[in-house]
Amino acid sequence: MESVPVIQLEDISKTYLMGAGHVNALRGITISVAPGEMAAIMGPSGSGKSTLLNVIGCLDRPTGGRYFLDGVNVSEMSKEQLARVRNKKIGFVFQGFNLLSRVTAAANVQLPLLYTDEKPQPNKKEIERRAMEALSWVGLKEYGHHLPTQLSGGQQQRVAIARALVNSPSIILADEPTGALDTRTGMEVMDVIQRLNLQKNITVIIVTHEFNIAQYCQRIIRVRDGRIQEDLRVDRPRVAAEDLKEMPVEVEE
Amino acid sequence: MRLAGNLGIALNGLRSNKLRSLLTVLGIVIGVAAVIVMIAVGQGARAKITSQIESMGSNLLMVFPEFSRGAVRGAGGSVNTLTRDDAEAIAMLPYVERVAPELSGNATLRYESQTWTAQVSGTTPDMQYVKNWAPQNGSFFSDRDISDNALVAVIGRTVADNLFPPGVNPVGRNIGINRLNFTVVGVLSAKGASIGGQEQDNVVYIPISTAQVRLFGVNNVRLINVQAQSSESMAFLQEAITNLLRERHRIPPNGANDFNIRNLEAVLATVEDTTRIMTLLLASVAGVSLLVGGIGIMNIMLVSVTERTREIGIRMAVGATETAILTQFLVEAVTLCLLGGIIGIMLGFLGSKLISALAGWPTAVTLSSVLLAVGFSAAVGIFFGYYPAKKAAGLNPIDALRFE
Ligand SMILES: Nc1ncnc2c1ncn2[C@@H]1O[C@H](COP(=O)(O)OP(=O)(O)OP(=O)(O)O)[C@@H](O)[C@H]1O
Ligand SMILES: [Mg+2]
Repeated sequence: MESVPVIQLEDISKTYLMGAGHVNALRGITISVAPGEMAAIMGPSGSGKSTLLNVIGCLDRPTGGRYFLDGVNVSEMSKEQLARVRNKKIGFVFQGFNLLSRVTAAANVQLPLLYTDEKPQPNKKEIERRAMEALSWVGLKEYGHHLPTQLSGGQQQRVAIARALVNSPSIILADEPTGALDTRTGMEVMDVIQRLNLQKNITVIIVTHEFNIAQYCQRIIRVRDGRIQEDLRVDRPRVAAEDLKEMPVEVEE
Repeated sequence: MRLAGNLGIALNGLRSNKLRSLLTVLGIVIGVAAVIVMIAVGQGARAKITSQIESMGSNLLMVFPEFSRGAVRGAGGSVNTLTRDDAEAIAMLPYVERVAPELSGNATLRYESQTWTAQVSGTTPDMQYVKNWAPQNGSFFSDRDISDNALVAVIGRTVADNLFPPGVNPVGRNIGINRLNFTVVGVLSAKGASIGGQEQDNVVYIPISTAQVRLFGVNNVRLINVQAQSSESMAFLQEAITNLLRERHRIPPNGANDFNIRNLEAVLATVEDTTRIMTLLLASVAGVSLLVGGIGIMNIMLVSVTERTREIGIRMAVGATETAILTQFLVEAVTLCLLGGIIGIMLGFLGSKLISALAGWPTAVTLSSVLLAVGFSAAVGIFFGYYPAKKAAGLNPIDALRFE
């Protein structure tokens, strides 16, 4: 029943040269992720989670091994081609939100659309319409004209999610998306991500320290010292929307 | 990536950093303004000098007497080698359009109880064509007046204004010049100052015969104006006049000329060359300040790239290519420079006007100097913006994202 994997890593390694010595951040990672899957990557600090996610996101190139994204070998692509792949197929969500602080939420969401190579190029109106649609999807329809500093952490992270989904990517990659948020807000963000996965069928990979967060995924990949230590399927992942309902509103950390 | 989007991003960046943007472009503003003002001053001076020389008459050769051994010297220390016969002989040469000899001196004029001192110049009717200077009122005297030694005068604007009360038409009135009574037959149009700043309108023209015989009592002339048929024939004519006068004055082959021919076209060319060099010099001094301004832009762009490393990382993460980042920063630098350029042009324009108004120095802001300034500031933007932009585009997305 497995379809063609959206992500297929074959013996991926990544070595950083550091002055005299070198750091093996990834040492032969082989995994495949099916379309529509929602997976968590866990592991101790320094185990190579972020490095792995960056390789999957085409932000970084592996030093060894092969990587097929949607069946295409991206490990041999030029920087230019990788930028195009990121723009078209991948959405990032970071721990620190990484929004442009000087422009509005709407302008942040529009950013990927400015770099699209879609033909014909979407006009200003179309760009605004799609950004607004993405903002509404994360429940921030009314906040388009706010600056990031005028938004709470959770709201900022939802703007970042809107930005990640505005180009209709096939994958969304999130590096500790709840790391800077309190429990409830974190859960709200997880709810948005989970809905993205379930309703839009976007493949999601989340790097997290917290088992609570990993519980919402269908699969948990444990990494240690740049190797895969464990790759588990979760039979019945928790649903963030349900947990949110049970959570008393007043209680905060 | 669309240019409009880039421009928007760039303008936004500049707007959120108003003071810094302003200080950054100050160098460009001053540079461009200086270029504009300097060129305007240079061009204005050139235009004024050229028009002054041209107002003296086109294709004009001026023959002056000059002291040499054996030449006849007059009482006032002046040299008296040129005569009306010389002028008439010159008039017979080929390529000569017109000839107007002049004999002038200062004299006191009188109209009723009013007196005024002016230059009184004896000449022929051809003077009005040689100098392209027709009477505004009345007419010039005629050849007949010359053969008659007639007591008629054509007066300049300044004389008319100072000798006659307002509202009085000088034509037909009698004026006294050194005890002789002249009838005014014409009033010349105003001509303005000459190159040396001399007033040209404080003049009275009378028949040359009258001047020689009845007013000054001499038989030489002070100057012979010769108008050539074309500017091409001037060199030839200068040669022909030299030969003719040497022969007429019986100067031996090794003797020095007792006259001097001034070619106004040559003077004009020299003046134009000089002012062109002056303009170039002024403009290049101003250009140096543009260069300094450009370095300021580069400095700020480098700071800006460092400050915005994270922003660059974010843009790269969402799919900006190196080219897109390069373009963004280049557009920003060029926008800055053009903005400075535009402010500079406005300041330069005001500055030129101010110089015109305060110093009375003529200025001319030309389209070419504006285009030069705009082109130069855009070029400065591209040149000095390229390195920082290249630096931004060459960043590794991950390192850029991690940058604190
Ligand atoms: N740019 C780099 N240069 C050198 N070494 C690096 C670089 N980036 C990561 N490393 C090293 O690679 C290893 C894996 O780093 P990575 O950031 O992937 O860990 P991580 O699992 O995400 O840790 P954390 O949970 O703390 O975020 C670490 O030992 C780190 O020091
Ligand atoms: Mg990490």
